[in-house]
Amino acid sequence: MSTVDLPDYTGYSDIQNVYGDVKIYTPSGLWVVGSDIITARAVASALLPEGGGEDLIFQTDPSTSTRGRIRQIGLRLREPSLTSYADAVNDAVIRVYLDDDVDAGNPTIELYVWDLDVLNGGEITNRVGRELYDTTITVDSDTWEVYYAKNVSVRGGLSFACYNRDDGKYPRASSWVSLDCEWLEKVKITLYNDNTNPDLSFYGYAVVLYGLYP
Amino acid sequence: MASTREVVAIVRYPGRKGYVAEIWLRIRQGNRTRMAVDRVIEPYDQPLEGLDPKTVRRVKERALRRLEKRLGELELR
Repeated sequence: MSTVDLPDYTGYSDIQNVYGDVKIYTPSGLWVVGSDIITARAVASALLPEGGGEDLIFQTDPSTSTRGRIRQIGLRLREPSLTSYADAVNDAVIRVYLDDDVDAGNPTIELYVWDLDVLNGGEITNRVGRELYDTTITVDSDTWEVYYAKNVSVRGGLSFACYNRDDGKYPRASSWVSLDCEWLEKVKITLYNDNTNPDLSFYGYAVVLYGLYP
Repeated sequence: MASTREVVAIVRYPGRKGYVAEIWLRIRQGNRTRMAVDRVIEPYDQPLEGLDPKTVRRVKERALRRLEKRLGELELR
């Protein structure tokens, strides 16, 4: 693969040795063809946070300063047991800590799975209100309503959910979000369980697509 | 041509089957630079499926400690 040292249209003279193709628009309106200067990886985490607890999805070493970008987070949640589980939509929170917020312990971004549904127009939670489910499934003696999002925003949303009307809770949910947020030194992403009962949890897998700048 | 390898980041996360460290390297060769990633996986000592949250946390912590020990032996910095 060939490498190209770009003319310094941007005033940022360190852009060189770049790979792939992207258009970089300069403030003057000119664009240059360069490369995606980010190298992407995906990580998959196994998660089981108890009520009021937080489980690590992904973290950079705080002692090594690095710059990168979170592109997308996918989240699959399910009940750890049929009789006792936290709500996969209303209790599950994606927390992103950027730079100083990592040490301060203050989430820079907090997104409930419920928020991701609203990002998509609140399609599923709105339909749950009127029992407009797509189908039902019987698990043991429970009947769950099953919802598939008819349209999902290109930036993310809640694409699938099971609702147990007897419990008034969601045992399962599938969601994702494209964040495209950047960190300058360090980053941490967690899944928080906002249920007040420490005995209630959800079992989950998360995949983070992220990249570092060379 | 000789190349240099510089650790630019170490990412840790609890993977499906073990605790993982991804070591990001900036490899310089002449005036060219590229990124590379090495992955170190420390398997969990028991499957996470079916365990309660406290036990899962302990299994992950044990794997993380073993992982840190392995990273220490690599003398990355």
